[in-house]
Amino acid sequence: MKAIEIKDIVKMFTLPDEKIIAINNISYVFEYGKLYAIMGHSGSGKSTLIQCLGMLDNANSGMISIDGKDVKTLSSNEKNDYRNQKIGFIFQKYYLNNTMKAYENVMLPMLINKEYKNIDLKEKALSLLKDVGLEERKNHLPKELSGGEQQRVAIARALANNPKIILADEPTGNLDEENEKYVLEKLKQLASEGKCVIVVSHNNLIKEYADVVISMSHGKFVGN
Amino acid sequence: MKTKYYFKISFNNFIHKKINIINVILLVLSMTLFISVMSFSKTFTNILYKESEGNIKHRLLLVNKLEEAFDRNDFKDIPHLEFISSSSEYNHYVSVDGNSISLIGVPNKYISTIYGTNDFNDSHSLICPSRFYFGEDPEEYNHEFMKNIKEGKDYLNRTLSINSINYQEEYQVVGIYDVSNYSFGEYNVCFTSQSNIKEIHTKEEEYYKQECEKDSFSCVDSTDNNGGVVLVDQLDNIESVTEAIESKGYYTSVVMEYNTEGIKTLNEILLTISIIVMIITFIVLAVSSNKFIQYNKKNNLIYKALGYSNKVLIKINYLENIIRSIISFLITILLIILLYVLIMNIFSAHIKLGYSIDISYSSIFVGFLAMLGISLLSCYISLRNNGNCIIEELVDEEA
Repeated sequence: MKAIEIKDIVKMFTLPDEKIIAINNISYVFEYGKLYAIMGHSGSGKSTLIQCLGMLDNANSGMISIDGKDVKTLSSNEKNDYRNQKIGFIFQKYYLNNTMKAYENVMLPMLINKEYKNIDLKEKALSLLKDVGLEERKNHLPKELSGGEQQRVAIARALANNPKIILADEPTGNLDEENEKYVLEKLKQLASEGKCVIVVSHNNLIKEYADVVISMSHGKFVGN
Repeated sequence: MKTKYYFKISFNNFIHKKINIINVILLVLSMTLFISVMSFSKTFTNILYKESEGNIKHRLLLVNKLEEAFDRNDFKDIPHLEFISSSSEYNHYVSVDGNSISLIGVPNKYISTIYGTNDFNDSHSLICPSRFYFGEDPEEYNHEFMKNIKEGKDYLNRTLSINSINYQEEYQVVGIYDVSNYSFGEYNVCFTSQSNIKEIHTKEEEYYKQECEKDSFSCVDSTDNNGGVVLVDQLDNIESVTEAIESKGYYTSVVMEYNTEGIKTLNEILLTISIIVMIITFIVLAVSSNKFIQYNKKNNLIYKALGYSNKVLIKINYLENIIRSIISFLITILLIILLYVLIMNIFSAHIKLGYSIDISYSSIFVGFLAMLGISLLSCYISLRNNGNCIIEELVDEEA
């Protein structure tokens, strides 16, 4: 079943002296229940692609549809709702709120989810932290957690609203081997639960977990 | 999002960010400066008004119950007291061309020695001030004669028609005295001989007697007017003469003339300084709010990635701004109170401070409103400009 479909998307950056084509006419369909690994050298356009898929940036041309809906037709509020409820983001540098405790960071996406009006959000956040093995660290600030622990909190946050699509941009980039494996196993588990998980990475380890490995170079998919 | 979470996030952000300490200090300093300058301006102006006087050599005291004093010869031994006029010699408010002036009767020797003319003729002569003030704005008077009177020129030797109750006579201005040297509490005082004043009084009393007999209105006992003027030899002796008179049970009031022209100029200067400080304070508020949004940029971007709308972000950031403003404001008030107590204690201990310090409450109110208003505006403008934030900006932040 189609999660995200992209058709002829192009993304360009205009600099004073030149134009850089980050995404060069890519078409693809990402399905639910699979773990996709997009791999390529630095500057191949991987991060730009995942930002466009998550509506954090706009493609110059082409179509991106999520669950069959063209994102160009979405209003600003609808895009916010999609990012909040349909998509979970995991970043290389975690991007946790440093002034909030672990469980409060996990709660953040839930605070604006209208469907969670009558739910005990703290209870749900603690349950998510338990799933990633961090229940005992619930009251710690990010600076008091290791890199791996922070990434687990970020994963729990990404799953807060039970999104169907997970977008991860170099999720293991700052982690040691043990935590790398943990994260990749978790992502694999999420894909097996029916989610569409798209991971951008240049770590070869992901090949062992991914259902589909896509190579990207100079803005194009060059291998599948 | 529930309101309690807005407060929780905003308060949490506020207490955990070290940058907020700098922001609060900046706000407190600028607001304290603003309120202090406005208060100083207010206090200083009040002090100036109280302290300002013309260059007075002599001063008139007004005394009540003068007839009793004369009966008991109470003022015989008071040193430095040069002259007392009785009510029959002191006449208020005769009219000249429709305007009121005061006529005071003094012995001729005073006119000679004080006002510098040796040829004062008893017969309907006046010594008048170099400037008259009629109404609030003498500029309004277009009458040529009044203009000349105002400017003190060309009315020496002129004839003025003096009108009082039952009395009209022509008087000649034979001398002019410098108002800045002799202040008598009222601007329009002309001096004449005591015999002229008696003449006016006599005519008035005749009138009142006739009216009483006619029974057309309630009789006025002109002897009720027991006030009079006291002439003191030197300015420095005014206090001792006042004390001596009051110790005998009489009421005196000293009337003074203020030279307010200099104060008006100073007032304008102080107002200008206050406005400049106010503008600087508002700029500090705006820059501080803007910087605060910049420091919040990373968090704002994360919230956007999680699906937070601009509307929600504005609320969160503005709430944090309000918390910061309220805390800054409370610290400012504490600081102002401390400064006030310190200044009053130090200065009243070492310098005899006869005045109280006026705190400008309006500036406190304006300052607080500005804090809230400018914070909101900066918040709104900054977040609108950051509306299309993308994750690359997060990456740039990290770099």
